[in-house]
Amino acid sequence: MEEKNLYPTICPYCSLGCGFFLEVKEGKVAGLSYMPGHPVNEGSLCPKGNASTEVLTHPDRLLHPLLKTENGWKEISWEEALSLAAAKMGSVLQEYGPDALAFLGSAKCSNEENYLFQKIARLLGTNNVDNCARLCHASTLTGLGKSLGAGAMTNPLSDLENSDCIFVVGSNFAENHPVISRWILRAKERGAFVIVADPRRTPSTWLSDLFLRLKPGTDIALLNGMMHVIVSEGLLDREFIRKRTRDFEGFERILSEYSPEAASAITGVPAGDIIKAAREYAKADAAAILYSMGITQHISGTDNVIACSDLALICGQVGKKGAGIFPLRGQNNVQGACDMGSLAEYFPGYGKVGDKEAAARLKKIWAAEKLSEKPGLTTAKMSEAARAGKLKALYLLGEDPVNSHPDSLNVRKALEKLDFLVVQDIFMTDTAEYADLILPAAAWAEKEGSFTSTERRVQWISRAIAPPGEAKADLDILLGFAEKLGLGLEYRDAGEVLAEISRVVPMYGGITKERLLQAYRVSWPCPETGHPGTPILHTERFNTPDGLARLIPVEYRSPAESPDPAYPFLLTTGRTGLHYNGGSMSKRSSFLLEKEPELFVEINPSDAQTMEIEEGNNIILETRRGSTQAKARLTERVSRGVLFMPFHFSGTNMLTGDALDREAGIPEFKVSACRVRRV
Amino acid sequence: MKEVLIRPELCMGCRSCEIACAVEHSESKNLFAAIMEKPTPQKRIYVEYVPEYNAAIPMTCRHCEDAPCTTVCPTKALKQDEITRVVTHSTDLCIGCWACSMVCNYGVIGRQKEARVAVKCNLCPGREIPACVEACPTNALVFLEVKKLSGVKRTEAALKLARGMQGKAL
Amino acid sequence: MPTAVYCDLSRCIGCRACELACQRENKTSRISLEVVEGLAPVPVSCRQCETPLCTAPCPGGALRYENGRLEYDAEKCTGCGLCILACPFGAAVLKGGVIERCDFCPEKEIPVCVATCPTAALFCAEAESFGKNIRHRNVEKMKKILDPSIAAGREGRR
Repeated sequence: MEEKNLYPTICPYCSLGCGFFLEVKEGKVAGLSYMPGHPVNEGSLCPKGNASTEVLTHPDRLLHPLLKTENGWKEISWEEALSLAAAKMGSVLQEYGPDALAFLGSAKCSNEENYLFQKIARLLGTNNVDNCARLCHASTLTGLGKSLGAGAMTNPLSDLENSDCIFVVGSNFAENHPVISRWILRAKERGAFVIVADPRRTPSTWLSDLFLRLKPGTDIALLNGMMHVIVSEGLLDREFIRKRTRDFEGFERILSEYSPEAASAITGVPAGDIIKAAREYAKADAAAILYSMGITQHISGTDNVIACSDLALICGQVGKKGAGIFPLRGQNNVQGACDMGSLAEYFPGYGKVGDKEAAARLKKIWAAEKLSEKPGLTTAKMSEAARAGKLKALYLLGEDPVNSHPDSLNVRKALEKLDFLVVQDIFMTDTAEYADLILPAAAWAEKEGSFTSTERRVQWISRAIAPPGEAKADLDILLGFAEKLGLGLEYRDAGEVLAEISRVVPMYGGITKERLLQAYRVSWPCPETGHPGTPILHTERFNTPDGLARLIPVEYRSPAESPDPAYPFLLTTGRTGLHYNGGSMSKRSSFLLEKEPELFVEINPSDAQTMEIEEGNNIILETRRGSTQAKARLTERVSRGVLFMPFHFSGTNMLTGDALDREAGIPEFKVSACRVRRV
Repeated sequence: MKEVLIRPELCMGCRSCEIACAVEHSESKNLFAAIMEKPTPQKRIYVEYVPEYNAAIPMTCRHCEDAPCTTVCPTKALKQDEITRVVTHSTDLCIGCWACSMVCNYGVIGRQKEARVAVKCNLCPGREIPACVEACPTNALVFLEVKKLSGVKRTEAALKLARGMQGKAL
Repeated sequence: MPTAVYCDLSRCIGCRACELACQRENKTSRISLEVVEGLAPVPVSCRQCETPLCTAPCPGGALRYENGRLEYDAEKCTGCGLCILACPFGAAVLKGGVIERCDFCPEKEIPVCVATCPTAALFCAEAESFGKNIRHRNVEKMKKILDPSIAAGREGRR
C-alpha cells in the first residue's frame, strides 16, 4: 500500500459545503476520494468538485509578491511588499481621510480572514468594506432580514427530502448546485410535487412536475398571483398568520390586483398553471421554496425575496421540517463573509452600522477608540467613487471585479483611476492586471479556517499541503499588513481569531476550533458552548424584536430596461454547469475548459432563423453599455426574444447594466435590453 | 389485441402465476422435471408484495405501444410485431448489454444466468391463454382486450350502484 | 459476478460529473454524456455485455470474455480498432495506439462515476436485481388502489 494521507476537506466551489478527502502523498495532492459519510453530499461530487484539485497544482499560481514597474512585474520580498502596502494605504489615509480607502473582501476566504479584513478596515476608520454577496444575495439579507429577521436559509438542505412540495424559482439548481438534485429526487420518490419557475428550460426543469416559463423579471407578479389564488380559495394557514405574523390586513389588500389572469398577462405563464402551482404549494403538508440569483439579481431583488417569504408565511411553511425558504448562495463562504460583517452597512453579527449599541459593544471588545458611524460604500458605489476620484486606494481580497461586476468597462475605468490597488489572489486575474501590488495567497487546502455553507453549517478546513512558492495564507498576509500599519492585532492562528469571533458574533458563540475539529459541522445559531446548533430556524419565534414575522406587501415593477425597437432582445445571464463565476478557478481546469471552452449565447432557433444565424456562428451582442462577441447556440431552452449568456467569460459583464436595487444595492444582472448582429 | 391485464385488488399473492410461467418456459413443461432442468427455467412475471396492506401486485411486460426496449436494443434481439404488438426477444441475437432493462419502465426484463441473456414475457406463443393467466386462482390476471376489461368493470360498478339504489328504496 | 454501471435515466441531470470523475481517475474519460436534442441526457459507457461483440474481431486476444466478465489486456492490444467498429455503443476509444475502455475502477470499491453521481442516477448492480427497484417504484405508485378504505366493498376482496 502506498503512503497516502487522507485529509477531510470542503469543496472550494459553491456554497453547499460538500465534503471530500484530499489524498496527499509526500506533501503533494495525489487525488481525491469521496466521503460517503458527509451529511450534505453523501459522497457525491459535481463536475467542479471533481476538478477542484487541479487548481492546487496549476502552473499559473502566483508564487511571489509582485510589484508593477515600468518594465513589467518585478518579484519583491514579503517584507517590501507589506511595508509598501501599509505605507501607501497609510499615506492615503493621512492625506484624504479613511473614506478614501476601500476593502473588498472575498466570499472565497474563511470566516477568520473576512473577520480580520473588516476589522482592519473598521479600525482604520472606514466602513468601506464589502464582499461579493453584494452581487448575489444582498437582497436576501435585506429581504429576509426585514420579514423573518434573519437573512439565511431556514432549513438544512437534506431536509428537502421531507418536503411534499418544492417550489424552485429563479434557480437552475441542477447545473449550479447539482448535489441539491439528490435531495429533490429523494423527495420526489416520496411523492413530492416539484414546481420550477424559470425563463429557460434548464436541466432543473427536467425534474419538475410543473414548469412555469415566466418572462425574466416578472417574479413578483407570479408570486402575487399565486398568493391571490391561495387567499381567494382560503388555502391559507390562518392560525399561523394570527399567531406568528403581523400586518396581514394591509397585505391582503394589495393581492386583489393580481388575479391569475392579470398575473398571467405579465408573466406569460398560463393562468391555469399559476392556480395549479398555488394549490399544490398551499395544500402540501410541508412545502419548501428554493430561490437563487434569478430572484435576487434584479432591481426589485429585495421585493422578490420578500414575496417568496410572504408566500411561505401565509401558508405557514416556515419553521418546521421539510418546509422553509432556501436561498441557494453562490460562493462557498458567502454566508460566512456576511456573518463576519464584511458588509458596508453591517458589523459582524448583523449589528447595523450607525446603531450606537452595536458600535459600543464592538468598541469594547476591540478596545477601539472610535468606529465610523457612516455606512460605507457598496461594491457598485466603490466603482462610482473611484471614477469620481473620491476613492484613492483599494485592497482586493480574492476578487475579480472586472469579470464579476456589471458594466465592466466602467469597472476598468475605475480601477485605472485608483492611486493604489492591492490584489491578493491565487491567480493572475483580469483585475490583477490593474494592480500596483499583487500578493500571492494560499488556496483553500493550503490554509486552515472555518467556512459557513449556505445552510449555516460551519465547517473547518485543515491545512493539507503547503502553499506553492512564497505564497502565504491570507490570514498571515493580513496579520503582516496590520502589523505594518501598527494596528496591533495579535493572533497566533485562525483558531484564536475564531475565539474572538465567538465573542463578537452572537450566533457563533459556541463555535470553537476544537469543537469544529471534533465534529466539523455545526449550524449557527449556536450561542453557547454546550449548544447543539440550530438546523431549523424560526421554530418558536422569528428573529424580530417582537418574535413575529412581517407580511410586507410588494408590487410588481418592470425591470430597469425593457426590450425596445432599438434593442429588441432581452438578455439574461447565469452560470453553466461546468464553470464557476469569474472563472479564475474553473477556467484553469483543463478538464472543464476542454468541455466548455468559450463564450456562447443561447438563442431561440426561430429568432436565429430570421436573422440567418446558424449554430456556431460568431455573433455580436450590443447593449447600451458595450458590445461583445460570442458563439451562437441555437436551442429551445430559451424562448423567443430571450438570449442567455453565462458570465464566466469576460465579455458578458460588458453588457450588463448597473441599475441597482435601492435597498440591497444589488445590480440587475438578469435583465438587459440587447441587440444582435452577425459578424 | 388481447393482453395480460392485472386486477391488483384480487391478487392474494400466491405466486401461482410465477410458477406456471417458469414451467411453461421450460423444456419439459412439467413442474417436477423443470426444477431439475439446466438452464433453470425462469419466470417472466413478478409478484411484488406490499407489506402495508398485506397484499400483492403482479407485474409483467406491458408490451408497450411504442416499446422503449425495442428502440434501444443494439442488435434487434428485441422486436415488436407490427400487428399483434407483442414484443419478442431472440436469445441468439442478445448480447447481454442490459440497455433494455435500463429503459424498461416496469422492471420486467430479467436475466437468464446460464445463457447470459435477457428473458421477458412473450405471451406464451402456441397457447390460447398465457400460462400465468390460466394459473391465476382469483382472476387477478385476465387475458382480455383493454376495452373489454373496462366493460367488465363498468358492469360491476353498475351492479354496485343498482344495489345501492335498492337499499335506498327499501 | 458480472456487474456493470447502469443509469436510471429519469434521475440524470446531465451535469457531467461522471465524465470529470473518470477523467480525473484515468486521464481520459471513458464515460461520455450525450444530450439528445438538448433535452434528454444519457451517459454512455461500456455496457460490459455478456456476449460481447467487441471480443470476436479482436485479433490479439486483448479483449476476451472470461470468468463471467469482459477482460481487457492493454499489453496485447494492437490498436487495430476493430472492436470500435464492432461495439454498438461507441464505448471504446482509441488512444495512444491502444484501446481505452471502462475497466470498472478495479482499485476502488465502486467506480468513481457511480460514487460521484450527485443524483445517484448511475449505479452498479447485477443485471437481474435492478429491475426490482423499478418494480418497487411502480408498486409504490399503484398501491393506493389496495388501500383498504378504497378497496373495501369491492367484490371478491378476501
